[in-house]
Amino acid sequence: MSRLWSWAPWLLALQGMLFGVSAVAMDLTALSVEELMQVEVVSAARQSQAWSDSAAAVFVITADDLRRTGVTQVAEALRLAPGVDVARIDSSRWAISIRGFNGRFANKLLVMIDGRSVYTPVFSGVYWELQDLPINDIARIEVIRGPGGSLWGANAVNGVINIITKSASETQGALVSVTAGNEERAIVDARYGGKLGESARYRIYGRSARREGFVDPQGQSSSDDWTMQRGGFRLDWQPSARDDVVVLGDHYSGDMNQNMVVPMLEPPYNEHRLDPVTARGNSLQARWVRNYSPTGQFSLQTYYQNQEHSDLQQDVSLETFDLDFQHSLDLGSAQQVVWGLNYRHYQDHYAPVALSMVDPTEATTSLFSIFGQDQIDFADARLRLTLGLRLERNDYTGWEWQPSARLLWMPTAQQRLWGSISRAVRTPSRVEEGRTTFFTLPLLPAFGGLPAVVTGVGSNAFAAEKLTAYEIGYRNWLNEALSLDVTAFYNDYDDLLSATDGAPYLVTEPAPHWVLPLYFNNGLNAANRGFEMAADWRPHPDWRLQLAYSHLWMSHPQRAWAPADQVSLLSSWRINDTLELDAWLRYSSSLLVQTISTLGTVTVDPTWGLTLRLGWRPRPDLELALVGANLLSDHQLEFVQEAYTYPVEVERSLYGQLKWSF
Amino acid sequence: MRVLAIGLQLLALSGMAQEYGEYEVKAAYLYNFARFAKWPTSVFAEDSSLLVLCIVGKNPFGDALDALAGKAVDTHAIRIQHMTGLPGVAALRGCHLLFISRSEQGRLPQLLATLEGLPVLSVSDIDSFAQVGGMIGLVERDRRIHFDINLAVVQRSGIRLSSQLLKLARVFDE
Repeated sequence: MSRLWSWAPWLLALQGMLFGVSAVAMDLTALSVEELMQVEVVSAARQSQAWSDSAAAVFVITADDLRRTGVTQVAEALRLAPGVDVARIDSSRWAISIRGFNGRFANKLLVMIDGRSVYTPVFSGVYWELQDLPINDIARIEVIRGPGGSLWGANAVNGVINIITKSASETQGALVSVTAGNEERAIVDARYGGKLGESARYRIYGRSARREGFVDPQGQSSSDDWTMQRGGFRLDWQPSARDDVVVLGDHYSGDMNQNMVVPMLEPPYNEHRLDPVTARGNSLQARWVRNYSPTGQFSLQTYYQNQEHSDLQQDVSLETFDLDFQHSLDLGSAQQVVWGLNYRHYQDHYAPVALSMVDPTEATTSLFSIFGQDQIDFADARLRLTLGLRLERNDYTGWEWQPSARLLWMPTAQQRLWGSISRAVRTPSRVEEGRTTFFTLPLLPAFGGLPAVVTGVGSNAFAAEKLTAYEIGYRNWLNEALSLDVTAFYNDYDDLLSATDGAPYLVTEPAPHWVLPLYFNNGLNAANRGFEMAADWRPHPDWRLQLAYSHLWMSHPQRAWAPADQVSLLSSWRINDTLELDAWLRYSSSLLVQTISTLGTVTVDPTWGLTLRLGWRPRPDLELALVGANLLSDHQLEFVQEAYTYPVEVERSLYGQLKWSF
Repeated sequence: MRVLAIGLQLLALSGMAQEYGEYEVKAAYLYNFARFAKWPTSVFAEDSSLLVLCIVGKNPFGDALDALAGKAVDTHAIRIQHMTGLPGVAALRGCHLLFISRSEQGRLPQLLATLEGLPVLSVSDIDSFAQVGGMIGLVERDRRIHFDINLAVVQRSGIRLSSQLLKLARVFDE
């Protein structure tokens, strides 16, 4: 086991799968055959590098982490990763970003599920409530902080989150899981996996979730309850030893009650409304990978997805078609080259609603990109240089280039030091471009006793937002029970979205009021810097501690909407063969959110969160758990939406989980 | 996620957090195969008889087999025996589980012919091992180790494999 040093700390992540295995001698014989089939190996034939050898800031949330934290939503689990700002706006809405610039409409974070982008160009951001995947089907979540534009294309500015679901061969048989509690009212997952002939496996699944609403700062119910229904399938087929085919599809349908404060032209000029939001969507995806030689691989992927989202702010339908080709090959023993082409097509339709009007109502836009990357090993393979470039053409700003250069140094077996310089862009959405207007909050009686309404106006001259990022990182596996990962970064942003006040003008219809136009432009530059640390320590074979700490210095805290300090500490303790006791403590320092509302800039006080989980596995096919989340306060404010702001506080949640496989 | 994996390889991230050496995993499979196999009763003289794992050819496991030594399947302690050259029927009869190294690819037809009908569970990671008449072939797919079983050959040997194992395998019937 000469290579044990490099695996050992990461093996600890398997803790929940390992029955009675010591940290020193990882004994794979303790795994069942099903579990062995899930273990990834490093083989001589196809060189694959552990993420620990990456010249980027990567954190992997494993299926076991998802189980031990007792989370019921993907979004919640991201709090484990250093450098990720996760804040819950209300029961269904989340604000999630990396290294600042958070918000309901955080627009610099790319999120993908099995290689399919769920970043929506409708408003440049992610509807997290719609990504309510069955937690049991997730293999891992890869959180990559820092620009990923050269690889993944536009909008991977502050980071990329890849949610990767289990293959069908890992989910054979039937599984039923039920969660019920005071907030998580009823979440039911059902899954079945089987074989189609000898070379194909499939699974089908369904999920239904009903969640309770939270409360306002006075402790009164905010009625923001919601439901999500989801179903889908996955097929993994190996038509031959060198071909892999994956077909995935899903459908979701959600009804969410969201609180909004909307403008009125009569006193009291704004009104609290409970907005019944509906969202539906479908996706179908297919991927074919051919390993044409031990070191060469082609892949071809296509997907189609549609979504409809209707609320007071927007009533949008969007269709996306994506086609992606990649080719990787080795040039000699020291160079690995990857290149690829991507085409994406969007078709949208915006129905006019009370709070916004997008002009034109329909548009067809497309993206085309080409990328290449070369990874070169030198100095006895102790140094690795990775150069990448993506050229992407979009209909708003034309060609954008996103290069990156990364250098990794492996001075000893236990240490990695890396640095990178990279550039990424965030391309405009329809709302910022063109003759868009939105009707936001009236500022209270402004001039001459008349109300005033703020209107955002897009511009065809709006350019892409740009980031040049400088990063440096260091990893050390101090011993088999302790590892450390530290990253520091300097992010230099140019041409960020800003708005210039125009001259107010008087409108008489439907009632006399002032209009304060806000013209969108690229008037803001910013610089954020910070560091992140992840430590993984196993003081005892049955006890593991995972610590994440991050600090952020923001040049414009009133714009970055992120806490300066964040801590997450997860303790996973296996009491005996059947019992687990897990505790997850989180801290987030105060933050500012500059709202377009009568509340102005909202200060969110520091928050503390504690989750306790007691898990019991009386039989291998049965798992029961009791979970208490947000235990330290009856309710607390984590964030507010930046417009139509209505503060909602996250309540304490107690629930039980039952998982039965057969 | 191969497409992702390709992408990730660019950043050199493609491996996941949990990675093991190929042969550490294969050694663990051997142990599991022994647990899920039932040999004809005549094979073990008594409850305390050893369960012999033979390795034919160049040993690819390094010290990964050390994890198996000292373990037992039911009442039978595992013993590991390395074989050189082309073993004959008598020598093979002393094995319960036989791992055929890739180094023996050229001699595979002769070896399989000798093994025919013997109550020896043959395992190998030689390409298409189960298809060409071996019992259990270890195959790598998507960076994970899966296995093929040639049920007809297993049945002729008198060994019975648990349905739990068959459920997870790609099964060939000759």
